[in-house]
Amino acid sequence: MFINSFGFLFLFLPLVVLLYWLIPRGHARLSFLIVASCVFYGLWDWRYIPLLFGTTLVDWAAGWAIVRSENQRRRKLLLAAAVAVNIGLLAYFKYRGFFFSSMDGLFKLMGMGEPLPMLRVLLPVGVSFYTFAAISYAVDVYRGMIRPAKSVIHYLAWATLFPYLLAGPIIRYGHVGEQLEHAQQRFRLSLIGSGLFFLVMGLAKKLLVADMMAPYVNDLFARHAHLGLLSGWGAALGYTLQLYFDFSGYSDMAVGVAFMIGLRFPQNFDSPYKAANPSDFWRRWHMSLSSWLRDYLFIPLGGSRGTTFMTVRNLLITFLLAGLWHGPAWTFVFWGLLWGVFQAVHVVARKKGFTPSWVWLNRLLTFLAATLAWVFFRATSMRSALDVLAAMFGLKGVRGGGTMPLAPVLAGFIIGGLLWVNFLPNTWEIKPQPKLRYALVLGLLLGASLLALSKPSPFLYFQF
Amino acid sequence: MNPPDEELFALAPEDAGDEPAPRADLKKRVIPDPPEIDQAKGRQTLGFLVVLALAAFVIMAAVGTFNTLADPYGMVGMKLLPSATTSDRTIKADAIEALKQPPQLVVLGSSRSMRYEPKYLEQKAGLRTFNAGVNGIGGTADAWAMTNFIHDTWPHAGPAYFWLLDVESFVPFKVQGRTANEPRLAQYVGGAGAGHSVRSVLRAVAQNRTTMFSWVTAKDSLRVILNRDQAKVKASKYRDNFLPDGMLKQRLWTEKEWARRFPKSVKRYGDLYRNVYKKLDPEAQSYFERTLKFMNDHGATPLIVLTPINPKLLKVLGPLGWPERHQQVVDYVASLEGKYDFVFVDITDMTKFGADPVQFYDGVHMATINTRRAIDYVLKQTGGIPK
Repeated sequence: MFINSFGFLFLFLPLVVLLYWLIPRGHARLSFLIVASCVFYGLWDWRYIPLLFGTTLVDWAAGWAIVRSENQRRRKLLLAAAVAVNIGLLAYFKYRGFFFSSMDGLFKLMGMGEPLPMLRVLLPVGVSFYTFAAISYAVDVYRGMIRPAKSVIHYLAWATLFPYLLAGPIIRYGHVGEQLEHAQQRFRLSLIGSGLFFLVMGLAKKLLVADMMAPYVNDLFARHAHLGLLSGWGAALGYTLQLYFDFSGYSDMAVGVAFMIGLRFPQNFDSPYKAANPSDFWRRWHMSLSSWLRDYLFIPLGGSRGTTFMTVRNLLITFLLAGLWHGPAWTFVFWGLLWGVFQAVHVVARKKGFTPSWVWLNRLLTFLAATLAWVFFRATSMRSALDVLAAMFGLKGVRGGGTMPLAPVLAGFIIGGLLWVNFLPNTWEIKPQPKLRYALVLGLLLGASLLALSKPSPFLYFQF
Repeated sequence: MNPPDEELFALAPEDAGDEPAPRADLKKRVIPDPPEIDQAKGRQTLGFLVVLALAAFVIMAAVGTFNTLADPYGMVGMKLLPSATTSDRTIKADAIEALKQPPQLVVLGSSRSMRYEPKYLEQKAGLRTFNAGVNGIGGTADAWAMTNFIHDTWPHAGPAYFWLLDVESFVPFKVQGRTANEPRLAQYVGGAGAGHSVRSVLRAVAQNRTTMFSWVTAKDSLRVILNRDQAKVKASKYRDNFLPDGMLKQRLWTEKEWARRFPKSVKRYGDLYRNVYKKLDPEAQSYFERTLKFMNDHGATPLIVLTPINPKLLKVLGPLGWPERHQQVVDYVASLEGKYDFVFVDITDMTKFGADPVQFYDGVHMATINTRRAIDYVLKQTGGIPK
């Protein structure tokens, strides 16, 4: 079930919110939440519910055992085992095909004949998100950052929480555990009002902006070989904005849905295209992932505590793995590597005092770096990414193949989108108020979004 | 001023030293909560929610009303403006309503039947004929809808029927979208009824709600309004392909067309037999039998003819299950013989009527030279149209 579908918005969500508040607080309410989340996930593909429970319960068991152990070595082993199981399952479901096809490619280059046998297994939706969330639980318990979940019901209510299950953000137990343990007793209209505010803003971003741009952007990337200077930039900028409105729209919707059941989710986007350098960008873009990478990968690798060389090395490793997290493809690996290089260049430039002092120049450079990187993120192959880049650098002329003019509608969306992301406040910077003008604007946005819902399309981050 | 310019993760407080010692308390969430409406403003929030819902309703109602009035796909049956899409169902329904005299013989079937000439049948059988065949595989529901519509339009006509059934008429079934979208026919297959009463319009809108409450439809509504003259021309161009007796106009056979269309037939029917058509569909059978009963109840004994396909296509479909489905259809029709009155002729073996295998536009559609041979053979076998 899509979160942006009539079924979800008019049946599932109202029913769950109503029953959630009618059921008495405590285990009954949390059990209902688990069942609702399972129904939500099961409507997507019920066959992977056991995997969801299996993956996440490993970390609950590890957390349970870790707090009961005084032996530091045993605690470490328990944590390592849990993480190994998580990563193993993730690798099997997500990266097996990538591994085999890469090996095949290698064998072919070496002139070795028969392709390896392929076992095609459907990628369980949301597996990257809930696996990372589960790992964070075991590690946080091990580090003493959080107390273990009060009960397995509390744990599962968090691990399977439907607003974030399919496409994030990566919600850690530390974010909502306390809220679940001390769940709000009383229903308040303000929760629905605040929830609707975020839900409508997210819907509008997704349906009225991202989905409107999608056909043009898809068309341009599909015909990458024919792009010229204008259409090349149209493709890159179009996708840069489409992805932001799509994913930040989903994140807003998740926050809104969580609000309606009395939970506060953390922020996932903070006007990333206003970032003044690559580090700043990653403090603003997909914040739940970047903070996860910081806490569970970058810092354990040594962070920025060592020499510049070590910092650069740690950044490259972190972003290489961040790329791989997004998908089993060389384009994602290269995208991650590219960000690692951007970060490294920034670290070195800053130390040498080469960073410009003019904030708008910094913002422009950061935005261009992001746009460049998104080309690899979006392209279906390295070849098509290079085609788009060649067009952007003018190597194919202004008109390219002459068959791909930049659609005025897309150009309009790009200009409007650029103004939006640079000059307007993001959703978290707006304080919703129960005033007439807020209600009217949100109502019109809701109506307009619902009118665009006749063909719901999946969020871009569902694939990760 | 630049914002703080640290490396990506250097701000993390945890990045200060070795692993922190376990703490007893839950970690305080350092990430701020999302902004929210002041909980104390309960009454104001209620008003806020009401106005929000009303505003959403108003914009949706406005667009829905606009789309209903413009009715760009002809789904509601308003007919105030020309439709952006003209289907053969609409053209045939219009033609039936425009007939000066009721038909005495009705040709039913899929697109394969659309070039069976009413004039030729009239000449051979002496009955005023109308071709009510419409596009689409699995058209027993179309036959049901057409039979009913003709009866309701010409209640005293009591026509005979020349029903060109395909082996593929019983594929797993879904009422053809185009039939469901023509209100005059949709009423017989569970869709909204024809007419302009408020109730029927509301029913049609409700049944097509995702289409009617949509920006995409609104765009086409606007197109229909702004370009109504061009829309009329476009619609009339498609209409020009049909004769007043319902027949799709003849077209010269060309090798070029065959070369272009035959591979499409192979793909389409190959996919159908490979993936979909594994047994006869009960709903298609139900529509078939309902139609037979309806015809019998109104005094008609239909002539049912099982249509041929091109031998080249047959060669492809043979290993995919065509012979088995063909036998199932023949057995099924035979099993109905005691239950309903009808005459059945199987001309799937085209050598029976001397068809020219070249005179096919694609894998299934015969040119006129072959449809005439088929008519001659069938009428010879049956001794004319059954009464």
